[in-house]
Amino acid sequence: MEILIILIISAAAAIYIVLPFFLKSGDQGNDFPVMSGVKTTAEKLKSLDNQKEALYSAIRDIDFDYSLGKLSKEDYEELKSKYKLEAASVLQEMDQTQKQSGTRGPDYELEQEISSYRKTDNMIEDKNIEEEISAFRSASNKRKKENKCSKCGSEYSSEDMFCSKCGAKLN
Amino acid sequence: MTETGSISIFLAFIISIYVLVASIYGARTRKWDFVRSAENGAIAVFVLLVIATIALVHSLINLDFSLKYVALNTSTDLATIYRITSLWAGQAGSLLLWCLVLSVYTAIVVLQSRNKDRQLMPYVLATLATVSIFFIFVIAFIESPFEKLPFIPKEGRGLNPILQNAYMAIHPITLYVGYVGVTVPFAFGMGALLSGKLGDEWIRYSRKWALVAWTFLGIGLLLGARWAYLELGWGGYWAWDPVENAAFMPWLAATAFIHSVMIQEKRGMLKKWNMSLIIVTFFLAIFGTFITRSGIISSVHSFAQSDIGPLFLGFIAFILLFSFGMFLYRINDLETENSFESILSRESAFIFNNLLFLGAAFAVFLGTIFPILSEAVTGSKILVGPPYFNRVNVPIALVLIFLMGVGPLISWRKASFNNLVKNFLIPILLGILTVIVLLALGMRDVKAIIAFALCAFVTGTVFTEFFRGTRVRIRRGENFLLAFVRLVSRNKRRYGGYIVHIGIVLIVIGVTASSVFVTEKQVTLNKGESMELRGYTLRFDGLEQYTTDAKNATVANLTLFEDGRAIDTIAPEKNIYKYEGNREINQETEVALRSTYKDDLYIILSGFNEDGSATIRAMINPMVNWIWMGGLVLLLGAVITIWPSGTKSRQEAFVRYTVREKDATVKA
Repeated sequence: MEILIILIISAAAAIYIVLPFFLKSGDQGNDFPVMSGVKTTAEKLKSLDNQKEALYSAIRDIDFDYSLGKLSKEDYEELKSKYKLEAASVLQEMDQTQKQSGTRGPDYELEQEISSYRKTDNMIEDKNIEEEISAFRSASNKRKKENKCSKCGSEYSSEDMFCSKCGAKLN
Repeated sequence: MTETGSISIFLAFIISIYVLVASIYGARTRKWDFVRSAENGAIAVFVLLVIATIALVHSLINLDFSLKYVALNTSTDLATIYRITSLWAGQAGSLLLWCLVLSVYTAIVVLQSRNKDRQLMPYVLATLATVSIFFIFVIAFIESPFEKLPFIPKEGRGLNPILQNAYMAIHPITLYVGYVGVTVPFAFGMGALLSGKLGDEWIRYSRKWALVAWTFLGIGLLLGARWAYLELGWGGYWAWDPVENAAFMPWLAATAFIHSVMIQEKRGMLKKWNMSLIIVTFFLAIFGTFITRSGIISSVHSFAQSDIGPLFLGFIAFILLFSFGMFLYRINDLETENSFESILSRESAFIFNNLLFLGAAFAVFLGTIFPILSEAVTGSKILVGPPYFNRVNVPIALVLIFLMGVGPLISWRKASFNNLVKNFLIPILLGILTVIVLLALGMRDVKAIIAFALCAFVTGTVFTEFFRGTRVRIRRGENFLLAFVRLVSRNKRRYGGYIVHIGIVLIVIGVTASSVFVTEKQVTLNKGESMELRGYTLRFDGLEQYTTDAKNATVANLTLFEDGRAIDTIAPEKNIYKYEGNREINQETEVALRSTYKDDLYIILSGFNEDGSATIRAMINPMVNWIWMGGLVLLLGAVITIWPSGTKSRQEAFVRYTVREKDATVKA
């Protein structure tokens, strides 16, 4: 009798372990990214979203610390503009990723769901942060639009010294 | 059942090896079905160890004396609950429990991350499997709980009477969950080193799991202290015993880790330091298990001894060499992103905190292994007693309490003078006020005064934090209660941490009061005589004897008077057990305890004579209850800190969102 139990247990364990070799469907593509660092769109968006969340929470933190008087005004402003810049570039990248993968604009219903989760989580602060950053972004976008190479007309970022397209010196 | 148990352990061993090989092979060759299979293997190991544990518990309950383990740790007069708890009374059983707890952790890690962090997870699993392999090897081939005796004895040796206590039923298991839990953050660290994914993932997971392990270790230590206090009958709760130290050291290192990971999260600094810390913490946890299990250092805890020592040492050496080897291999990827900006900043407060915690851990380590070192060098064991540990650790603890007050209020990067004055004025005044009041009350013990003043200082800082935070929210239009609740629930880590700090303050107050201001008296009394003890009077009303199945007990009946009024009756016992258990104990004292928030009256029947007189040892231990209360507060704070936030459900919604989008594009 006991031998039977042992056999059943062993067989069950063995079957359970080899099962994944026979149930390959779907595994390779979606859930499991390739190791070389090339991420799927979903992976990339998720990690960008995580980054965005981390930056938002950092901004929330310094806002809170500032209102508690733990940060001096200069420090607060310096840190905040640093985080805002980072958040803006993450949002930019998210937009680009979505554009490149050819996905449409956000599904309204799910967007609502996501933001409702956030609302229950962090009340008004996030909305303010979001507004602030989008204002910041559109301002910097405008600036960027003006940054066009005088020779070939392609865009460049403010830190560049030479145009990445034609190599002309920028001023 | 016993065959099923031992075969299950053997199968678990084989499958663990498979899990190690398959997960690494799968990750390196990107054959994900191997990784999936390894994950299923980890779950199978968990199920098999559950079966093995059930088999052993079944044998223990039914007193199957053909098993050596059952015969050594139970007897026919043992209550069912203690038959079950004898699962962790001996060596083989507790090692089986070790393996079981690790397999539970592994299964949780696997199930939680089935579709996440695919580059990191196979290596995390491989690390967990390696640790499992070692421990399952020990119970499969060296210390098997299912080892049979050549004959079947009529009666077992019985469970050591001092282990027959409710706290003994939960203290070891809590501590085990803590000890073994340290493996998980270590595995994430190793997974990061092995996979080269040294980004934020591992630190996020590690921090969470380290908090879980830290909480269980801390609560386990406190439960152990309470057990010692109630059961061992020497009047205290902590004796710097090697096995107490064994659990205390990883707790200290883990405390350092859970603080310094915050710097890595917020400022991208101290990556090498954190990685080393988690390796050291795991080393100390395994070393602690080694001390407890090998019997290499004699201790009140040496319930389980054998010669698995060399094997453990080999494993420890392997862990240290391999993990620090990997650490050196990846050292260039662990460069810091930011640099120090000021000595007056939260970062530097954290670094002082870390150095002190590690310093304390090292001092305890040295004191614990000194007997072995001295024996190796001079040939004779030199024991290191509590005076050494107290002299080293008390000053460190005082500075740490000071930092506990400073750290949370000081700002990141750079604190300004204004910031300091604004935040610290009230707490410092509170501390000074405490000193004045204590001096006025006649207290002259310098260390105690400093400790109490620092506790007042920390309490002041924590309360100003709560007050200011609530006020900020009230200004935004919330009522007081809502503001307070939201303040905590929206910043769980920060305010949970503060609550933990309050718990620590309560413990420090209790420890200081009860170690500095003990009153103790030992008197032999005849029937009707009384003894005086700091405002209390104890009248001895005579001895009484009774017999149960398990023991012969002698009881001393005492009446307690305060200010001439009888307020309670007290009855300490001395018991002689019929079966002595696996340690030689002739008599066991049952302490009588009368506990209030102000003090504990701790009465021991030290001896009794033919003529009916009794020798009573009575102690007044002030404020011991504050320690246990602190433990509860600490637990509350830790639960708040660990409690998952809404981000997970948000993330899931995000994943569903992107996946649905993808479907849409495919259709289009």
